Amino acid sequence: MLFNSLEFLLFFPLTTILYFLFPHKYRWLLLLVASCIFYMAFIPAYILILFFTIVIDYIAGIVIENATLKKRKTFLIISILANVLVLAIFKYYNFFIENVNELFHSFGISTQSLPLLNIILPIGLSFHTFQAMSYTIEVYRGNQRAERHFGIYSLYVMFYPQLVAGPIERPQNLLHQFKEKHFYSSRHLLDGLRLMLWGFFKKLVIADRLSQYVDIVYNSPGDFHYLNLIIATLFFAVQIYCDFSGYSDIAIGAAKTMGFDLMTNFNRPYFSKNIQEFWKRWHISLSTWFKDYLYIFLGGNRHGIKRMYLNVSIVFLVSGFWHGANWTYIMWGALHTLFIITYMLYHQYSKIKFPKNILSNALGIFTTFLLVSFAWIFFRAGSISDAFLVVKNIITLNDNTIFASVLTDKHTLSEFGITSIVIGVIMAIIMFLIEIKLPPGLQTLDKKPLLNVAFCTFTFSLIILLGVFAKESFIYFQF
Amino acid sequence: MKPLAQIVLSLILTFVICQLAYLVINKGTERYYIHKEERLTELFKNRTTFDVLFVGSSRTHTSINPKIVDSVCQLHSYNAGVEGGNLLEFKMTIEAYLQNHPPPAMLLLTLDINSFDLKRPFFNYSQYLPFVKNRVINQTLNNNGHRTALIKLLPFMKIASYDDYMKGNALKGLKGNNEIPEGEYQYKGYMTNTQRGLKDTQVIVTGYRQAAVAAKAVDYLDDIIKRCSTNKIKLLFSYAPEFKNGLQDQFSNKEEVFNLVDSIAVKNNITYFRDDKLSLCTEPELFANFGHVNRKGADKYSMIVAERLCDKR
Repeated sequence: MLFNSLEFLLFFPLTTILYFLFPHKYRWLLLLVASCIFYMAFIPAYILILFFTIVIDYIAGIVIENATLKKRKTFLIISILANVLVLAIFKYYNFFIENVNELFHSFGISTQSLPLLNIILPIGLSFHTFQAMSYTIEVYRGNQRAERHFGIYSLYVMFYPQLVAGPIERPQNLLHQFKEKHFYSSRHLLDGLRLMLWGFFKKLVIADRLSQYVDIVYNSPGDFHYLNLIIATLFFAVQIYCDFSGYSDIAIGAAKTMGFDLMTNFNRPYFSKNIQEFWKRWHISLSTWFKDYLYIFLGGNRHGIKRMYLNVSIVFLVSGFWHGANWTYIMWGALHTLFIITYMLYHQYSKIKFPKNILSNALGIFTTFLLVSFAWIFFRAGSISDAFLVVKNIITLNDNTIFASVLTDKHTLSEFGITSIVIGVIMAIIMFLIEIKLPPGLQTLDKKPLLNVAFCTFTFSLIILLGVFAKESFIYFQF
Repeated sequence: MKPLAQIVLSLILTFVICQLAYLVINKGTERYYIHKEERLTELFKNRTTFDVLFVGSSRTHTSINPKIVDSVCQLHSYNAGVEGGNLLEFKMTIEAYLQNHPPPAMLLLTLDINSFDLKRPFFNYSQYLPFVKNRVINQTLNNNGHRTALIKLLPFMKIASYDDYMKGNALKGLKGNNEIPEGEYQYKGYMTNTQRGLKDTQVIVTGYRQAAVAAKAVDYLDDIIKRCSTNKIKLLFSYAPEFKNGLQDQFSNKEEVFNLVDSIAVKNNITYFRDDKLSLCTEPELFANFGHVNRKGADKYSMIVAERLCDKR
């Protein structure tokens, strides 16, 4: 079920009201049923895949806790392999086979192609698989007691607000909350609804509006003037932020209305002064997941500088691959590896120290935004060749294209008007200005009731008056 | 102020702001689309008897003048072309029309290359909102993701159904403009489309996009054929004129679509007029753009259509 659908408009209040009407001991059941309905609104049969990983990890958790030190590791490896296997089959199998086939054909080894699987990627697979894996790892490390209640453990993996696109929670933060008795609180309700409104504003007013332009240009990038490509790339940088952080805000807000606290996933990333800071502010739940479970597992910075650089590279490449089985995502990960290692090397060896003032901060923010936007070209492009074409046409300032003019081109404008561009840009500026002033959860508004009312009225009115209600899916659902 | 009071106050203020905005925007929309409303009222509310109905997209809307057809053949025809229409809208138009009107004797259905594309079910679904009392309109909107009940309950939610293009037109309406530019007119659903001819006649864009052919769209066409057959309506297919194939050449799979329509026409014994092959299609002074004839072109094409209809009567 999409957050931006009429179904959710009924589902959300109904679930929240029933949650408080139900006796505490049955609330887990209500939330589990609601989460199943939420997930099954996409492709019902795929709940079986979720069920498979839930059963494996539930058993693994208990077995790991009870086992001796040596066996604990074996059971952890089995559980991780089972999760990775699901990902490998549904997400990476076809990519791997396609590349093997291509390799064989290009070397003339075989004219026959290995068969591909005709399957649709289950929605949010990488998210809930990673959340499930974090549970077994934490049990193994002794940071989390194994959950005996199968229903509550299932809910930990399936909790509907963050089931399909995170934040990827840690068991220490979420599991115990299902056992706590939450009382209705109008403060939580207000905080949650406000954050949801903010998320909907980012998604419906900005992301879905800009996506119309981005889609037209990126669907046939070779046909467009270089300025169109630059504008579409910058729009995509804003679109993906508003889309994904908008989703996170709605998820955190929806959970908040019932009294649950989910972790912050975005902290104004486009105001980062360097690439390292960017990764501390963008998709925080995934960055910390990789840091906690992969970077540290690889040795972190405990085995010297060279090894640290290698570990960082591995983490970013895996992070790219996590997003999707496509060379574009791997290239995106590789670019970020390059950026971050260059930054770390510079930081380590350069003797030039910039003074810390407004100008150097602005320069840092601008440079980081440009680098991140450049990498988004690879993330958004339909194929690696499309991505290189975009880069080439931008660098060579190519204006020898079918749609030669920039924004006033009638072919582009017939589908996406100048009004949309103007509204999208103005709304994005307003959004960034508000985010500079307010913390990610918008809590500072709590102390100023009138400002709070003004904020909610302003946001809600803009959603109704300027929202794009085209039922666009969230970008990160595909991961 | 207590949190709950803040929520209630925010809701009330939002509803007031949106209702006020709706009153303003709606006034602009009504003014801008005054002719469209008139057209759709004739089709979906009135009960006039017409002998011939022309159904299709803007390429029908601006190319067949019932005045010419009626005077040549002594018929009473109506142009039911809708801007950006696809087979879902064509089917809905025909079915909703038949709710109130007696069946016409003939129906000329113009099929474009992208008539089978249902990715965007309605080009402008909000134009149908004043007509949701018509059962077919109401059902089709609801079946395609547009819940009319919400709009009936909260009228300002209508704004949520307007895209930026519509909102821009509402602003134009507030300034006193309407859909029909100065010097143009509307007659029985037909809208004139400038007197100017084509200046730039060079076709530069070829085969850059693929026309979607949705299986559902083929089913809708089948439904239209069945409906016409049950109501004893003589159904004819056409492909409207275009300048030197300038529109169809944009699609890399145009032959696939033509063959599909051809096979359906042959199977159901329906005459299919390929009017892209008419000699007028090479005369730039008859076209407003590559896909649409201008007023002069429409006069000439309407004569051709009229003569055909006289023959087919």
